[in-house]
Amino acid sequence: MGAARSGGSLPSLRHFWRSNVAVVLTAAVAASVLTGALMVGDSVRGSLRDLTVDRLGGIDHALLGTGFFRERLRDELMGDAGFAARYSPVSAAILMRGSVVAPESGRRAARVSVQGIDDGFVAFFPGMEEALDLSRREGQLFASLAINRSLGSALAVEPGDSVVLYLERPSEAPRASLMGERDPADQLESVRLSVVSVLEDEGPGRFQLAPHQSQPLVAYLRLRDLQRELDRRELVNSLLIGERVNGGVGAAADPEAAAADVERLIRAHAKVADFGLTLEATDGHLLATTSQIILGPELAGEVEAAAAERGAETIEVSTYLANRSAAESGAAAPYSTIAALDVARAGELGALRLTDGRPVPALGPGQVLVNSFLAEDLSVGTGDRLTIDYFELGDREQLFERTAWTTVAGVVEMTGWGADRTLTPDFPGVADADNMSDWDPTFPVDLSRIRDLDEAYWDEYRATPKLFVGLDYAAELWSSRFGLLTSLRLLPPTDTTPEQLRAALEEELPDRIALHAAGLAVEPVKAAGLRGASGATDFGGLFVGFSLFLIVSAGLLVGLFFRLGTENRANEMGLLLALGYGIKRVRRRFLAEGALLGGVGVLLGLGGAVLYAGAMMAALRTLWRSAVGSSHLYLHVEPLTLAMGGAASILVVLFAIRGAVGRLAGVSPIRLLRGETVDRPTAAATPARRARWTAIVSGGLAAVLLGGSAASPASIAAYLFFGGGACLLIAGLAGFTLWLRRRPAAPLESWSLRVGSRMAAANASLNPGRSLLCAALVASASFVIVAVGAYGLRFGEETRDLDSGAGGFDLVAEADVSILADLSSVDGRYELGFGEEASGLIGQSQVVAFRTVPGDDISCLNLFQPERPRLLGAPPELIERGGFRFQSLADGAGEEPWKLLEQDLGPGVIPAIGDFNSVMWILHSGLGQGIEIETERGETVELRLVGLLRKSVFQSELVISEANLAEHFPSRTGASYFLLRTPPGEQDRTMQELERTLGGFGFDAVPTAVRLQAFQAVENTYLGTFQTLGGLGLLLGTLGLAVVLLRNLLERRGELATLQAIGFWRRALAWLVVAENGLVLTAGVAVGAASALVAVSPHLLGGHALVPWLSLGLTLLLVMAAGTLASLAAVRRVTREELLPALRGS
Amino acid sequence: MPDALRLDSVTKSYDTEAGVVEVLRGISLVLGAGEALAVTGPSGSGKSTLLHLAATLEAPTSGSIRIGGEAAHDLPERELAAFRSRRVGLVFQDHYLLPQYTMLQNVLLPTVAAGDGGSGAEERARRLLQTVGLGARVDHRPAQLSGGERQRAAIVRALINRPSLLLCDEPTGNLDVETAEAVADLLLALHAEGDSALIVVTHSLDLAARLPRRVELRGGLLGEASQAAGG
Repeated sequence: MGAARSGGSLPSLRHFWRSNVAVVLTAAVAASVLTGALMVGDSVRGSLRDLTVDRLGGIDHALLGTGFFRERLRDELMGDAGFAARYSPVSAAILMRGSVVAPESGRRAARVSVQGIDDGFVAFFPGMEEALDLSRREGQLFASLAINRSLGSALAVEPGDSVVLYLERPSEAPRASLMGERDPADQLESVRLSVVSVLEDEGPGRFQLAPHQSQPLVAYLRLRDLQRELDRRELVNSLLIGERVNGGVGAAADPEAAAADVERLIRAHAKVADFGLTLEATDGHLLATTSQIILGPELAGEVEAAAAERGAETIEVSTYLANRSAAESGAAAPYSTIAALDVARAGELGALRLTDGRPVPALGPGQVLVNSFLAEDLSVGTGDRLTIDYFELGDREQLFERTAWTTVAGVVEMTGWGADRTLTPDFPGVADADNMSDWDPTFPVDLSRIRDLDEAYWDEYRATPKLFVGLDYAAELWSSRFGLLTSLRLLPPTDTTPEQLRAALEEELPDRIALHAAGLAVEPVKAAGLRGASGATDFGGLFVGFSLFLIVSAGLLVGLFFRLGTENRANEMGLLLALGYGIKRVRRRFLAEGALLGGVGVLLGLGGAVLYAGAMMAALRTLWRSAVGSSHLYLHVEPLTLAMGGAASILVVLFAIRGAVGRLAGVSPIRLLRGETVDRPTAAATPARRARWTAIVSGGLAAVLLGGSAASPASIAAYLFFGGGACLLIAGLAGFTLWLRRRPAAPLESWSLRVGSRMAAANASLNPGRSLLCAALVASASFVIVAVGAYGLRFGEETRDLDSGAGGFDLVAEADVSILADLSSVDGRYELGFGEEASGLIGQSQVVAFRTVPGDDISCLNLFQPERPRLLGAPPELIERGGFRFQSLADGAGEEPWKLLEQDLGPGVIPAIGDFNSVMWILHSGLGQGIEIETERGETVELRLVGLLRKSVFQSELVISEANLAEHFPSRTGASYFLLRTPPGEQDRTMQELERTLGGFGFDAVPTAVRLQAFQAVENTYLGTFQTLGGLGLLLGTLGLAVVLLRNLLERRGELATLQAIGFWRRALAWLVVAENGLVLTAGVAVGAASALVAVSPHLLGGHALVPWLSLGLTLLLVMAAGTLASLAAVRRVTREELLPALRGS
Repeated sequence: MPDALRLDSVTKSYDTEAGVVEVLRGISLVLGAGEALAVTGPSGSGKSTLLHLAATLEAPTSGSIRIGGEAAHDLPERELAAFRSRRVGLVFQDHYLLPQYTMLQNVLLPTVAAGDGGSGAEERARRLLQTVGLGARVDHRPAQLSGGERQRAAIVRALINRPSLLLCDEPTGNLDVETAEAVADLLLALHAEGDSALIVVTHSLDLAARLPRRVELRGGLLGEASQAAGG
């Protein structure tokens, strides 16, 4: 016994080496595919991590501003030993988006990542000193520009060439405010530069902070040069910081904590100027103003609170422009400033006095104080009516002139605050003008209306307010989403001087003001990138899914080969049982052999896994690149995945082997001794009953699912149909089993192909288990191929249909610089510089302009896990117009689904619409679910998905209403995303005109069909991948079929010899075999294909399907041909040998 | 009437790894129509080879074989197969019934091959099965029958096309004594009823003794059978 126990297996393994090698090889294939698929996930994640580290170099954190802060902050930080010990290097930079034009060729590149870098930047990319050397070369005309290879190729320029860089000129005040720079001509800055070097598309040549695997267009110039061009000397909008702890490569253990630490250290050195604040001690008080003209509510609130804690009183001031002030007599004065403040309190403080000696009254709505100059100019006094014309800011940044009807409540003496020009902020284009007629303001003025008297006032009082109103009334008249206040007057307590108060506030405010209140944020950019590198899509899971059929096929083959091997040894098993071995022991012995074979196979398969994953990655870089948009994906081998894949493969193999052994162990020892592997007399009953029940249950379930789909919404119906199709597949295979087992007893007639086919059918029933296994393999593969093929569509959509994915728009465009002018209006187009003809052409198009909030691309084109989705603000005209098709909608959508965006869902909840694919697969969310985002004010709000679009152009972003976007992101002004419906046949010309005139804005238009095709290409590529791997599985299935066939024939050599002996000629025998195999193949293909067609029927009947019937048919024919060839080869192999020895029992 | 089987100086040799092995060394034999012959001999003496040559399953290395006066071995493969199905009936030591077919279907297989299928063949098959005591088992499959029943069905299959030559290779070799006796009775009875010539290759001296003519094959040569031949 001991010998049997210890040495029993090895001789057996050697003796049956053929079938054992087959088991080992198929186990190796199963392990290769399963583990390899998991390794694809590792490889994509690893590649994305590599890309993150490569594009960021040594940068771990970044202080990013929507505005500008002091460059000196860098030096102050570096001078702090505590900071320098943990963080180094530090670089100050201006990071912008822009477009570049090569003037010689006219080539243009938009969405260029432009970096103005200091000398410290190169420390993040050691070894790149020469490539990033931006010093001026001898004889060089313009400042230096280094570009990456992609940008160089796009512009067809090389070192020595000059290019023009277009950038957005920074605006002090928000562009959409009255004081913001609105003129398109003044919105852009163009700089001529000399290309001095072309960087490879890696390292600094791939630099971008946003996580995306696509290759960016990158340009570098010296910080000094960019500061000069933008007129922002010694100011920057970014600090890039490396972390010593991680050597600039890894992420901190707790990146959020590290970011908080960086923020703390930055605050320690920040000045109020870095928050855009100016504190000025003047005339007994402290004046708080901002470079952005309007003090945001949060910033103002913090200053007031800090001042109050030190006993100071705050007088809030809002100063605006009155275009015209007119008395009832008709006398009018142009362009006066009007200050809003608590005038009664100012009176109490003695800062404002009425000319008639009365105390300054508190002003209610419609009441106004005029200064003595204006009173005299217009001949008005207390109780007189005065109309004031002023600009009101529309929702879309339009300026409407409104008139306020007021009553004069008093005349103010021009002393104290009555003559205080600091009440008026420095309006751009106004403050520094010598004369009023020299004004070049950000708002429209009619300089012809300026009188000598006005110039005289300007000479003496500049922009000192002529009118005063209460703050509440001012809020009613000119408050905007940016805020109301233009300055704070902080009145220190009696024991404190304004200078002391300023010193105290300068010390305290940087610690107190939230960074976002000043448009600042500290981002752990590398940690975020590495976190995002985990990917929106689990490629490991995806490829396991894609390879599932291949894995199942290999697993089935392992079981099959092992079963064939054990069947060869049925008598050995019978003998052991007869000798008194327990059934469990015998089973264990065979299982141990199987485990040994499987283990060896799996070990071999781990090597194969590396090859398989390598092949998949190579395919992703090349054949399937449309799905990943990057050629930088490489194999990464993680030992843990190898171990997990190996363990999972062992389980698959053991499961398959256990099934094979268990089946044989159920046969009686007597039959096993005779070499029989089935308890024939009783064998038929149980499986037939099982098959009957399987057919009934699966068929019934299919009927329920398919019936239920009729009463379900389209999105659910599709799943029900697919489930129904899968049940039909099972029912069909069970039906095939029953058919095999029906065993007709009708007499045979003279030979004909029909009789031959009947005989073949009977032959197929000889071993129904094997026939079913083969049919199941073929059926499953056919199901996959047909179901996937039916979904894998060419893009053939009519984008001009209102309910298409393009919503009837045929162009989609984006701009690097927001466009404030209205492309739909003649005036807007004129402002933007369109000629008459071009303007006429654009005017024929329907243009819908969207505000945007920059963020991560949430489409399947971005492999990184997005953290902050990009947002679009749908304007009212789109909501009114409707269009696009929806996959699913929240309740109450009615006929106008876009109006869901205007629903009030309560505080902190914003309705949003997204594309089904992006929401489902990238954001891993769904209808009715929420996605939290942080607003510009630092509040966390929920984007509640109220509608999901189907295959739309909005796959890269979420759409909210323009009103909600403006409310929560007030600084996002102007439009940078456009949809256009052009006149028929004018698409190309419209695109060219737009891009030519708006080139400086980085305006880039593409047909919506192209954008949709890019999205569709991803889906098609995935489907193609699935089909390819399914096809490989089918190939494996066909191989299994051939092996089973050969095995059957070898087992039936005696039968064939008998038939030959009784007069069947060889061709008839061949026909019997081919027909038998063909029957199994046909049954498999028919059951699989028919079930799949049922599963995808909603899609087929949906009207948008363009099923590649020809290629599908050819694929299935190929399967049939391969199966037939396999059977012919098997027949040839068997009939080539002499059959007669079989009759002698040899 | 031509002889049922005529062998003239027939030799049969095989190329093996050990060299050429001559199994039959110039055998001549004549079997008249309806005649019965037992062939005995030790294992490896060439009995089965002789039977396969007679059944046209193999061609002789030299010499001539005529069945019913025809040199069948010269026929093309398809015609040879048709000839075999009509003129030769074969019974093996193992029954070689096809497990997927019923008894009736198994018995009808030679008529399918010969193109003689149809109601006439079915009628004949049922009658023959009735004759051999399997009338109630026509729709049973081989696995449901005993060894003796299977061998009886195999004999019926061999006779279904009314062959002029019935060749049996150890037809009772796998059966117990009692069953072997019964099968032998049946075989001889059916032979007596018909006009087929019969050759039985057997080790069984009892069976050989029941046939009117006996020859012994030894060392590839044919001689008159002795009592100890099959020993």
